[in-house]
Amino acid sequence: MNALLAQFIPEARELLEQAGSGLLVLEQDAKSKAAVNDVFRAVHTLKGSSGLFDLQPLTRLVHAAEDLLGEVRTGELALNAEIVDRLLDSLDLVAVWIDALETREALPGDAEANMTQRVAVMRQWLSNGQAGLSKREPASVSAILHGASAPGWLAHLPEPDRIGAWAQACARPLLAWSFEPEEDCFFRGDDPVELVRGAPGVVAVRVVWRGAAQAFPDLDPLACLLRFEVLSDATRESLEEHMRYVVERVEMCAVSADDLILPVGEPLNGPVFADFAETAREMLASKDVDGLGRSIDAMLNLAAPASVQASALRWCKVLLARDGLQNEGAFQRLIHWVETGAALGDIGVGRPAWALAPSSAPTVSDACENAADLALAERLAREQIRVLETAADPAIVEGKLQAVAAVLRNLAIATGQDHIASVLETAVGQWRLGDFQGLRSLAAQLGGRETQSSPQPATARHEGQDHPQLQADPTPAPTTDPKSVNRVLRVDQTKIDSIMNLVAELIVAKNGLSYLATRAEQVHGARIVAREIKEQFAVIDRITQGLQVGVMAVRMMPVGQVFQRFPRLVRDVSRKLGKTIDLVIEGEETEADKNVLESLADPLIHMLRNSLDHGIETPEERLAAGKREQGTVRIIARQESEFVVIDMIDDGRGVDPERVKDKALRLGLISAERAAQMSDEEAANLVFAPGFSTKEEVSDLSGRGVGMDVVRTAVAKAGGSVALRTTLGLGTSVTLRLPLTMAVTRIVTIDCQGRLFGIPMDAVVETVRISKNQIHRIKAAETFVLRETLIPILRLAKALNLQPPGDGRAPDEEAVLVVKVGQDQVGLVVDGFRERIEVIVKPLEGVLEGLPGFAGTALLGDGRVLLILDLREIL
Amino acid sequence: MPFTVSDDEVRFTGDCPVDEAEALHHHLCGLGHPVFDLAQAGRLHTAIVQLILASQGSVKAAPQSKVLCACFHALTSV
Repeated sequence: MNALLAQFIPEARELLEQAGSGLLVLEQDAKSKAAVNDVFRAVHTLKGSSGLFDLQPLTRLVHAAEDLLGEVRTGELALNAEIVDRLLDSLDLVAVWIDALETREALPGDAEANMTQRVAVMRQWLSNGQAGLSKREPASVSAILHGASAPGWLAHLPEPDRIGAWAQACARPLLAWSFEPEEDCFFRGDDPVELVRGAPGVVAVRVVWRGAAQAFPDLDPLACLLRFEVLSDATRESLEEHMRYVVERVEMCAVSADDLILPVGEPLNGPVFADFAETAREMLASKDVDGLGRSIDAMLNLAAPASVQASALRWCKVLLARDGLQNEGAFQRLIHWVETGAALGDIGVGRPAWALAPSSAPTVSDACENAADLALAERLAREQIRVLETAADPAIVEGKLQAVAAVLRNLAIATGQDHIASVLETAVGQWRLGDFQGLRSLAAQLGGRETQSSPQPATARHEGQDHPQLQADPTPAPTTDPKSVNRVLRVDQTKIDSIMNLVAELIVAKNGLSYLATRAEQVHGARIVAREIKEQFAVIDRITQGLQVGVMAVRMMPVGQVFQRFPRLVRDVSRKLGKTIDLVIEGEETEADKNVLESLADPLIHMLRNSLDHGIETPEERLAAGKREQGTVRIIARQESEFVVIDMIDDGRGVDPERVKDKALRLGLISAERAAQMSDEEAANLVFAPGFSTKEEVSDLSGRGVGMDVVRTAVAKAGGSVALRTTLGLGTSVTLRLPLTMAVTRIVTIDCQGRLFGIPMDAVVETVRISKNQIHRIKAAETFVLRETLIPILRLAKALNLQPPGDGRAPDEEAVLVVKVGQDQVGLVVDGFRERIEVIVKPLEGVLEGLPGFAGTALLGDGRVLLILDLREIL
Repeated sequence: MPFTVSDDEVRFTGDCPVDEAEALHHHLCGLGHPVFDLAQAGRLHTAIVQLILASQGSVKAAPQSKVLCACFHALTSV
């Protein structure tokens, strides 16, 4: 998996959790600015991070959620349960997508459709009466559309494209729109090319650098520096809809067919053009279509194809072919263009064309100019302004103007600013009419003033906000003291697991030293060596324990990580059931191994669902029972020795022991005799039996009653236990008890009929030796009294069907291991106690898999394999 | 990888997401005058388009997308 994606996935999950939790807080307290800011930040960050990848549906969905939250944040939109539901639903969907990304590195196939449907709903809120108009409503676009001039960049679209567009524009006006994506848009998941590609009715596209042409190696590959200029036959509404997320970066303008008649190229001089103009005007007046057509063809053969005259003649042909001489005004302007190599002041658009120049944006074909030449060109252009402003004899004014225009044109072409050249003549025409501003402006632009002061179009007026780095900020950036930073290292869990496994192996290997010491002393009689080995064992033992504690600390996580999904669960379930339930969580800072926490998650969800579904009564039932209308579920975590203990307590109806017994009898889980002997607590704990359910009506929330069995199985698999206490009518408490870590197990080894077995230390209460006369018989069962408690005895050899090696006579004194399974204590009679060691318990595999009575195997220091007993099964 | 570099020729196949921008940037920095074969290119992220434009190379075979073609108009006309 891509390293960035691997990093994104856990971050996304954290952000989703953060946003989800914040939304629940907001639902309770809609005025909480801290909560709305938290949620907004989380969603905003998620959107930004997702932008690094090709995850358009995800980014767009989160973007829509961000917009909605933005309105909530500014107070323009009042948050209600429906909006929270929709936001939570969207976050849930994103969570599903993140899971898909983790497994398949791609979003599900239906992501686009799911996104579109949800975004449509969220966008609806932004634009309806609840919220007023969204900030992103393209009101400004409308203003631009109706009030602005056709953009100058139209002249730079390829002529064939413009001719094609002209034909379409004859039927109805087109839209000319430019789009300048934000520089950091890639980080938000935007792909401007794709956006333009998908835009409706694209007729022609041009891409330019928004500032100076970029080149390697300085180009930042992840900064978007392009500007898109597009001619489209789409409606304004459809385009606004398509560009709705970036509408503030778009300028639109209606374009008529005449706006597109823009001859471009090098102007040529020569009397032949004047002759053509004279002849053409005569033919125009006499409506001689054929004659004009022949003259145009003849001139096209003479004029250089790249000249502006040739371009104007091609336009004449186009006009002639389509409409004959109907558009006489356009012909007059084109003929003037052929005659002078320049446009009439009102050619094409009927307004000063210099005003249309969008920017000094160089095209992508511009090479980097020689800096010295550029400086010289700028100086020459500035000189032209001075020449223009110098008082002159009226007789030479026109000559001066022509000279300045020629210099500026050449400068424009030389510096690659063709768009200035194309509008220059219009500005000259305006000058003649007394409007001096246009030519001055173009000269200033070529002189470098405009390019320095206003390279961005009007749409980027807020760039100070969007691009803070562009603002000259005299304040030095705050320096960060690395020592003061809370440094966090995010590490792949498999790496930690790998270290933990090595530590576990080291612990087992360490046990070999103890065996070696015994062997050195007993077999070889080397007491001194044995003592030295033991000393070294103590050192290594200390180091490995430190190592284990260190790695364990890395793996320890607060149980709050598991709990944080519960408020949402309680909210959704209680709403579905029509119950009012308060969730109280305590001790969420209690820590446990990450694997333990993961094993906790599902059992806790089962328990919570059962409590919400079966435990807590409906408001009516509670009121009838004299309880508060609102039920309460408390989840309390704490650490006890080497265990994490979690209590889930509800004040619901409790479990009826008699009803449980009846049900268990009917299901054949217990016999009638056993049912009669059972205490209420024992009966209540029958809910953990496989397939047990007292709820007659199957619920889609807690399933078919298999939940509590799943809980017990999962907890037992993690080396823990679960117990239930209940008081009918008052509530139920379920207690989970899990080891803090599952990696290394401390066991005590015992002898039984010449074989060695291991028993997990957490099941061992104590070891005692009792004489034969301390054993009492109650019917067929053996018992003994330990500190005034009657403990039943179980002989392990008998339980394991092991034959006694000797004469079978019982010794005078018995070694009894008192163990606890669930709530029960049992005295396990063994032949002897051996050492206590730490081992890695491996599950039974292959032919041994499923062998009853055994939880797994462990490797001893001397290489022998130790069988670990499963006391729950044996007892 | 959706592009291969052989001598000065860069050939694209299928979609090229933004994730590839830094790798492409690295390759292009080492090429004198790159020649791009975009005939088999699918969706090219803007970051990729921008790098191709900045490379001032030439396009040997244009992409099938009309918009992408327009993006590289300046290069194809080199």
